[in-house]
Amino acid sequence: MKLHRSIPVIAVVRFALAVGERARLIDGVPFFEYETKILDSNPIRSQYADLFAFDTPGPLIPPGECKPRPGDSGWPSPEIWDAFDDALGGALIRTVPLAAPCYHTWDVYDAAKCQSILRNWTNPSLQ
Amino acid sequence: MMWPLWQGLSCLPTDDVHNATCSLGGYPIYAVNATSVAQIQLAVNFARNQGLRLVVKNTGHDYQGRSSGAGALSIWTHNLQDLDYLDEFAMGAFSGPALHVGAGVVTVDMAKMADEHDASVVAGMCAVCCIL
Repeated sequence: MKLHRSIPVIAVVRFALAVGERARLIDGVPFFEYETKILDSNPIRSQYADLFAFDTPGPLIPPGECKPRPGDSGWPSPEIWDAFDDALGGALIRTVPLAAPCYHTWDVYDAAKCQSILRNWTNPSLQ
Repeated sequence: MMWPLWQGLSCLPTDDVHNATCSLGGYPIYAVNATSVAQIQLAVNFARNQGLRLVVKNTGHDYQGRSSGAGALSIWTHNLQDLDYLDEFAMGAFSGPALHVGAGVVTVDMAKMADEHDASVVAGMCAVCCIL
């Protein structure tokens, strides 16, 4: 699922992850299904390959400076986040605060939901 | 989170929207719903290569709020729910029954499985927490 505006068709590079099948057994115990789906060490040939490379040091952040936050020049662009979401098979979730339906600033305003959240705010089962 | 302070109380439900604001505070910006090791590898590599703050959340019971973080990418491991009882398992000096546990499995489910096989498992006191 695309979280941002659509990437123009020309710019889309569909890349297939070389997701390898691991050997099924370790110490005589079969892997769980999810444990068998791993990346190979040299997986991707595409414009986004560098995003997911192994054995890289990453950007150097000088002492006293912070890691990038939204709005900083170092924060990934929407296209990069979409490429990441694509590689994950749509598993990327954009966080929306639980009480956001009470506000107009999050595109999820819903007065009835807001009332329900307000009533149940101290209920540990609230989701 | 165990203590709302770590989130920052930055978005509270309210009737009075004109006098209140809602921001993410200590919540991560994005979370990866991990259902495979490949996705975890992608997320770790992506966070390192982009210089992003990376946090891991399971059930979110960390008392010091480390399951969350402002401006972070989160790996959410709750849905790794596989659980298996192994009648005979040997590793090093140990030989005996064992549980093969996905990261998201909670204490009560491990206890139930152990009980079904007349075994005991050492885990924390919190039934809905994980051991990992």
